[in-house]
Amino acid sequence: MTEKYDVVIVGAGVIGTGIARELSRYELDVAVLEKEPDVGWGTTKANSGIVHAGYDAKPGTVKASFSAPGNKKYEEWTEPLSVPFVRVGSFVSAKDGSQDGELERLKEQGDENGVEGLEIIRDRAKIGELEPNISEDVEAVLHAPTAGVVAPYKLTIALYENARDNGISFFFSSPVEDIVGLEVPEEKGKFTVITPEKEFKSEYVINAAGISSGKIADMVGDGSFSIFPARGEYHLLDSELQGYVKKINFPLPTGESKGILVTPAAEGSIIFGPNHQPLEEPSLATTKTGLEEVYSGATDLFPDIDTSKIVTNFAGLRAKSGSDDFEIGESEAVEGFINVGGIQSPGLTAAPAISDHVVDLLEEKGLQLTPDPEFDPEREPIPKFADMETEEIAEYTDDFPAAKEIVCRCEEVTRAEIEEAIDRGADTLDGIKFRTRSRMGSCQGGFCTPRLVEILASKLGVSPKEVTKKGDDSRLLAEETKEG
Amino acid sequence: MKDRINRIKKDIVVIGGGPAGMAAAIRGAEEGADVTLVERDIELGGILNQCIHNGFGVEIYGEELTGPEYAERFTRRVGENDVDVRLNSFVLSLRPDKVMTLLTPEGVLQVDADAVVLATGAREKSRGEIQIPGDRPSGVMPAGTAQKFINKKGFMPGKKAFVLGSGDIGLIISRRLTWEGAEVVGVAEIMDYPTGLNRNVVQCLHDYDIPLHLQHTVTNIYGSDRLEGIELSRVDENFQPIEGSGKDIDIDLLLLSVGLVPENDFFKEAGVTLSQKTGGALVDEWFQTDVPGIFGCGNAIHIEDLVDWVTMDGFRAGDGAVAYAGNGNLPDADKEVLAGENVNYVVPHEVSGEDEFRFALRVTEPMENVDISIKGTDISYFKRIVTPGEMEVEEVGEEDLPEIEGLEQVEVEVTRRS
Repeated sequence: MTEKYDVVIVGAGVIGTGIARELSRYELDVAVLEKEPDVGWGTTKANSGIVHAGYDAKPGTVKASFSAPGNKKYEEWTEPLSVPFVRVGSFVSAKDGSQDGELERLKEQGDENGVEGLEIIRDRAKIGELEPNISEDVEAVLHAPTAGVVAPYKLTIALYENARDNGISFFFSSPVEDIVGLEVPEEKGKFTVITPEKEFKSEYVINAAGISSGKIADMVGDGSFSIFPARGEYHLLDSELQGYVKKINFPLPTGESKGILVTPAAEGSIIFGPNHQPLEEPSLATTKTGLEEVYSGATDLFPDIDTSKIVTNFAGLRAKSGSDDFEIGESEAVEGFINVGGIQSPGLTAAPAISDHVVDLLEEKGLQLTPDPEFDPEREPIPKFADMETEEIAEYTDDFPAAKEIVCRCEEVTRAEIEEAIDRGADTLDGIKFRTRSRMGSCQGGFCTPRLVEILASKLGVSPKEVTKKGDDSRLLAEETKEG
Repeated sequence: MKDRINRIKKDIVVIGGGPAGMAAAIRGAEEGADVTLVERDIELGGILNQCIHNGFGVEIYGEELTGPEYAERFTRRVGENDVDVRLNSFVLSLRPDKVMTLLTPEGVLQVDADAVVLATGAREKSRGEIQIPGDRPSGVMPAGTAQKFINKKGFMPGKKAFVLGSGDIGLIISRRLTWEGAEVVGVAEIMDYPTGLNRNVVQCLHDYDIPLHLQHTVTNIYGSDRLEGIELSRVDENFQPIEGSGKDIDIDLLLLSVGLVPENDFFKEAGVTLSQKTGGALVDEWFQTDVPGIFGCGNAIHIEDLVDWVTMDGFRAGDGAVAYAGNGNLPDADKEVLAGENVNYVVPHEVSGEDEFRFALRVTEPMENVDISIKGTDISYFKRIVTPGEMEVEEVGEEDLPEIEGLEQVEVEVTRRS
């Protein structure tokens, strides 16, 4: 079966959905193809959730050109889409005088990149005021007030919902197997993008495939870059510690990465990580040595933090290109094929600026952009029971009886939220988790998983045996018991 | 606008309808107090309802009941007494002045109580807390979650299982899985002794030829979607995996029975001081916390071996709550109870010395021929075998009180007989 589109986007991470959402402003037929069963399950899902100020990237790099501008645009996304985003500010900490020069260097770099408000604080009392629990050994910090935190999966889900509501078609569990470029463009369809179930003809293809972006480029004979995945491991702490860490805390950067940071997460908990491990093959497995490295890096900055409150650990992948820079632009090999590859940190930060840039690029390449009068920039979030005041709960539960059942106790998530998440497209336990926070709290789903399986099976109209954690073969249950 | 929040006044509110909460509510009502019992589930009984094995009630009834049978007896007693039972109801907040907000099927309810008993039980530790590295597939879950799937929902979470941790839940689930036709490849325990009850080791593992690997732990998890296998390694005396000792085992289910943690959120919210050792609230001989009128009992205080002890603690907490609700005070518990030599922890943490009391302790390591005694007194109890897996419970009777009265602190110690 073949469908025809103006633009096909490969990859539904924050970049692919971001571009899709910006394109949804126009009267266009756009399809997004994603190999996973949901949005944001690649590099987007597991990272630090930081909107960087933009001082890290070397001036003149592609990263630098999108970082600070991306940061400035953040509210343009998070406000209409109702995604929590807080500019908590970031610290780069120096522990002795010899490191002071490095702070100066970063500040100069940031000034050159157009980052506003950077200051080096050497007054220990002021550092303690802004970050009371930081190591006493910290003597000076580079403070970047514009840095912020956002839940990358929440942002991506919001972009997806809004893009979908504005007419973009999403195809999940649809890995791209090949892309065939035609010599003679037919009516609508220079490229044929092949997935197991369907073929998509399109004038333009956008390669936003993250870790797979090198392979997708290869499919059209563009060998200009390759991806060398680098794993980063994390610890996540109980949201009970909310407030213990106030800023995004970096050590001094190493050559390879920005170092192991300690940061509040947008949704209230605290994150430690990541380390940096180059891999031959992509793997999301955590390692003992890696988790220990992250632990020791984090406790170096916050020696007294209660690490017994670690609730889970996970790993994410950086889609590092050979040049260590973003690979953004029309392929030199094939006209109409636009690479947005090698998007590693600060890709989340850059996403709004990259999305705008890609739209401009498409227009430049001849795509007709007619504004869609029906475009609605706003998206309503799922009402969050845990944030409601008592009076509000009384009213809300009167109107929505399903909200009278609290399914996930740790994070106070009601059946109403879970059913709403399923109605909005979640069809796995992880899909529900990223939309509602169920199973993200201190018991990690110990209590609520059996009930969640029941609710999901019933809403999808399948047997509980068909319910999966994250699609494919990740079923939870094997068979009925003898007594059923 | 009409006020959507109903407000009521109660002598005692008990939070949690498991064995501890039911006992506290029954005792409160028996003594004439106006009691509300709040339970989030659709029925009373708590975790007992998924424990379909027998062995419950030996101390109280002298017979071996199943969990649901034990729950049924107490549910009936709750019904016979005039307890206001609120099922499908959740506590939204609890203030130190004992005003709480409930979400009930009828709507939001604000209750102003004279005394509150928290009987919220415990939760199982998760994979993240013990930081097992590796992939994150489905098929890794706490043993109690698997028990719920099997016994309450009628589904098997896997066919070839391994159990990490030799706690009672892990032992009992091993037998249950075997009965259901699953293969249990083994049980691993990081300590050099099993941490569950000896009777469960015999009846659940030995009787079914399930190997118990002491001083072993899981050091890796394989499988990107569904669990495919684990790496099992031997550990050294510091519990660190010994390099090169790892061997891979193919399984599709890894169950964790690596400890329980008291559910202490409401204690924290009410400003109650917690024990660093147990994670539950610090309590006196009436199970009163350091916030006057807030009591706690059962696994919310410390993890108990037998439901019978949980029930007895619930009765005692109920007595305390009645006394507090009635006249606003209880004897001042000003003698700190200390964990002395070879003692990991003791509950209660404070006593008045004016009333007889029971204390429960866990030792730090397995020992033979020991005396459990209160330092500076003649109060002493001989034990042939003690182990951290088995809680020791002793009574300090009326005849012992004169000795306690003279003490500033009550130090409980366990000494070996030479």
